[in-house]
Amino acid sequence: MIALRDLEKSFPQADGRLFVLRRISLDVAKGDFVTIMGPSGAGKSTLLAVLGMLDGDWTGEYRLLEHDVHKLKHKDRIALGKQYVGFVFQQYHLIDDLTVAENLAMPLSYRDVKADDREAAVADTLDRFGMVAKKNLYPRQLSGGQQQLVAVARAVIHRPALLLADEPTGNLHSTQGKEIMELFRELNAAGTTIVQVTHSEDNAKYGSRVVQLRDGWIVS
Amino acid sequence: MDTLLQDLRYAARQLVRNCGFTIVAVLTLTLGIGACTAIFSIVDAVLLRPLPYPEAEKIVSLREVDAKSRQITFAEPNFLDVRARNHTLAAAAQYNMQLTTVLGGSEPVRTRVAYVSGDFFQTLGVQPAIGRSFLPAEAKAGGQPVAVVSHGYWQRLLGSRNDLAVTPLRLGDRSYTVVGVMPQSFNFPQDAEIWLPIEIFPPSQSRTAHGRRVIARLRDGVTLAKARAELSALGKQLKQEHGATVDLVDIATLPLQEALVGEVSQSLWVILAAVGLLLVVACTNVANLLLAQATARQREFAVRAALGATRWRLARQFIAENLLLALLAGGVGVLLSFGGVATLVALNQGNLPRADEISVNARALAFTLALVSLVAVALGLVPLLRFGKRDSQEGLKSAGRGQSADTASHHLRALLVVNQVALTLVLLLGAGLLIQSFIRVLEVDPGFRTESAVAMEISLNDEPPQRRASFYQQVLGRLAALPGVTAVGAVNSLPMVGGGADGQFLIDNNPALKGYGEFRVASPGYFNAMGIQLLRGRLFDQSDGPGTPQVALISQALQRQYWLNEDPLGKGIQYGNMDGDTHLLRVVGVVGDVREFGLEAKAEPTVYVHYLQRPRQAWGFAIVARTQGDVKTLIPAMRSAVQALSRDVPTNFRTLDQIFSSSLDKRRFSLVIFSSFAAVALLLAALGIYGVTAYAVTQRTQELGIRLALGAQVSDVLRIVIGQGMKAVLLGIVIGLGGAFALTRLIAHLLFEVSATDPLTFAVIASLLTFVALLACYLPARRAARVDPMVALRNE
Repeated sequence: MIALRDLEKSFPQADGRLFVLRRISLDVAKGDFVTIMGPSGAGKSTLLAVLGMLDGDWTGEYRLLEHDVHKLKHKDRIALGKQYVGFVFQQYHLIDDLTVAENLAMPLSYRDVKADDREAAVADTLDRFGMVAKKNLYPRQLSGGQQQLVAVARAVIHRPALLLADEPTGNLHSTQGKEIMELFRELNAAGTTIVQVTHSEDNAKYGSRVVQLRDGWIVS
Repeated sequence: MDTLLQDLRYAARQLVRNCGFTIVAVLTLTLGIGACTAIFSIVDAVLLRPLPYPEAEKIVSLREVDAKSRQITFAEPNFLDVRARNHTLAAAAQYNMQLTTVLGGSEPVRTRVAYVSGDFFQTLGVQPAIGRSFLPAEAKAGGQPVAVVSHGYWQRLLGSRNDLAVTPLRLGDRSYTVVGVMPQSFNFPQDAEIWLPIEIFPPSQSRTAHGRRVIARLRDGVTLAKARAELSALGKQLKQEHGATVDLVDIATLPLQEALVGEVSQSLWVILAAVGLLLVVACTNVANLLLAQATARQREFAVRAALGATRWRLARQFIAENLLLALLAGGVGVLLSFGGVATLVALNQGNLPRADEISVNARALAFTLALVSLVAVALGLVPLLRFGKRDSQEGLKSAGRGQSADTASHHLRALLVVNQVALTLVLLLGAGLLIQSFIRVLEVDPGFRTESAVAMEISLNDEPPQRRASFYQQVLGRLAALPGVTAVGAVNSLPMVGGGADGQFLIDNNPALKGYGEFRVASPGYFNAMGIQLLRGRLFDQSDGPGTPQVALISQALQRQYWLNEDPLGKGIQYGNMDGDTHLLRVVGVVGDVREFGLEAKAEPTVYVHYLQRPRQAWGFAIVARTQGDVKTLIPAMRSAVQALSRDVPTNFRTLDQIFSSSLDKRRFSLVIFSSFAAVALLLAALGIYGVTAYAVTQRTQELGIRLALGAQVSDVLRIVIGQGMKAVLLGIVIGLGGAFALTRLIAHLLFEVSATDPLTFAVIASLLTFVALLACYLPARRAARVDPMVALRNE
């Protein structure tokens, strides 16, 4: 599903360039649950951002399904990301002034899904994630775990083929974190390819394999 | 559509949540949009809307052009010739207007009566709403006296009766049957309430006695250029035929609308441009607020982008938010504009043509809606400038870090301040130059004293001249006897009021020696009552009367023009051109110049004649009484004195101070508008500078804390912060000075004895703006200097 070849990302500096990703070559098969680990500053989140088309400034080759991302224009990459990728962030990043239901509907509205279909999808997702009673609440009225649950639901509501998660349980206590990871397992079992970044060995165990990053290099 | 509604719903929620921001932004935009709506309403009514007559574009105004290329009103015989000989006009009419006492309605009134020729209504293409206009048999010498009245007069004084013939009107010793009532919207000439056929009065024979205004309607298929060419040729033909006995050398043909609004059009366009600048300044302020808010909402935008929002979708969200803001501001602005329009019209009632047509109407609302949309789109794009090219990843990271060092945003905000300061400076300089002009105008000596004097205006237009003079004499005698009155006198036309006649005279009755001047009919006490100085010879006195040789006083300007190195006393003036009396007037004195047409117009050469000797032109008389006490207490006594002689003579009172003040209305109008705009712009600019500097201080709190920890003094911090803030201000001032240098020329016509690039004004205004900006920078700088280094560092 994902094939990276010699992917590099760097920033210009006074005395040359600072590399944050070095010659990354990585394959992720459809249905994989890959965990990226490594110390802070290793380039984990940057790699995730590249995979999710949030960062377009890199060199090398990136193939997603049948698309050569490195050959695409910025606009087309964004469109590709919208089509295939869902994101879960460590800080949840829910929109404070939107209700749970509105937060869920947002990715669909950005994909021009018709209002009726959108409402149906939101209702389905609320039901699936057990949040029907909370649909009119605002994020500030939810616990951290509940907020991340909404964030995961929002990430998968448009049924992405690839789910990217950046420290999804970083701000949660262990029980809440476990619930989220169980949810990921279910999603993966249902066919969603998942790439997560984590510091947690426990979370890594939910995945099928671990990729270690250090100073921008894949070391294992 | 539903996503648009969703955007609007979210936008409304945002505005409610950030109500502090919303209130400030709405108030700021309200000032700009409200002012724009008010000014547009005036510009639209006066300049843009066609005149309210059928095929109004075919109606033209004709004026004689004299040898000095001045456009002057027609002399009647010239008009009659032009009307008879042309082939391009479907109709042509002459008219003039006078304030006249009218009896016969529910009460005597002093109102504006238009004396119009038979084709007048046909030329305008308007007929009475009730009854009819003049029949051909009525619009000729010896015709039955008939009158058409305005809708307002019909309602107020004729009790809205449909049987018009029941209440004849009496003007002087003639009675007029009312035959028609004009539609409510008809108002031409401005403020006329009664129209009489001019043909029933003896025609003027003089080709140099001007005073007839002329309108005409072009024939179908005739272009303005073609009519101009023919009428111009006719003018030249008349000059050839009549030589020195006509003043005209050409005829000017102007669209009536242009002729009516020509004087004010340039001023109104400049004011519209000024209000546009104010709106931009207001929008700049709101843009700055939006940028600050956008920084606070950075995470939200990044998340939206990460979840698939395109730039257009983000822009649509911003535009929806700003559309609501602008709509709110537009709504409040429109409400305010109703008051604004009323105030502005009241400020310049006498000088604004078509003032009765000015209102905040559907066109103004459509304009406001368009403006609101424009503002919403413009402001909606501002946050995109801030976030447009950033990757979502970077946005998310920045958001995670909290307050980021946001250089691009700061530069953008500084750029907005540069723009705001530059525009504010242009407005301030405009206001500064107008204030300077106003001061210079007030320094001009009007030639008379305005304090402690009141003028009572009465009109006896259609009374025989001797009867009028006799009545005036009795009134003057009674007023002189009133307690507290120190001087009383009268003239047929007061300075700064208008309505006086001017024309050609013969020096010593010699047709080869011609002069031109204002013609005034005055009583002996007029000069003392007005405080006009006697410079030479004597004033009119008791020895002058109907049976004695006719005498005249001349103004200093007239002496300078015609007898510069001679003694004017004893010289003769034949002024039959004015009133048909060809007796020679002997000059007995020279009096000081009076600014007849306002302080800004030069003192015109003037001839004063004695009212008992030459009463014909004294249709109306303005009687001036000077008192030692309060002028207002004198008014009832003056009114009683007139009523004791006749209950049918309405009186109108104005103090000389009021007349003097009214003469400044036109200038005050531009001054008040420009000064208000400039003051609001200055306030907004100060707030903008303050906001940007305060924001910069917040951004640099850690840096400033480190500097203080390393030993920086309070003065060092002040210098850093103020220096940073003032960079943008000074750049704005430089750009503004450049812009003003080019733009203030546009208001040159509004200036009086001040150059459009007056260095003193430029220096003072630039200094004022610099001072205000320094203050706006100093306040946040002082706060920065009080930062506790440890707290600042901990915060980071």
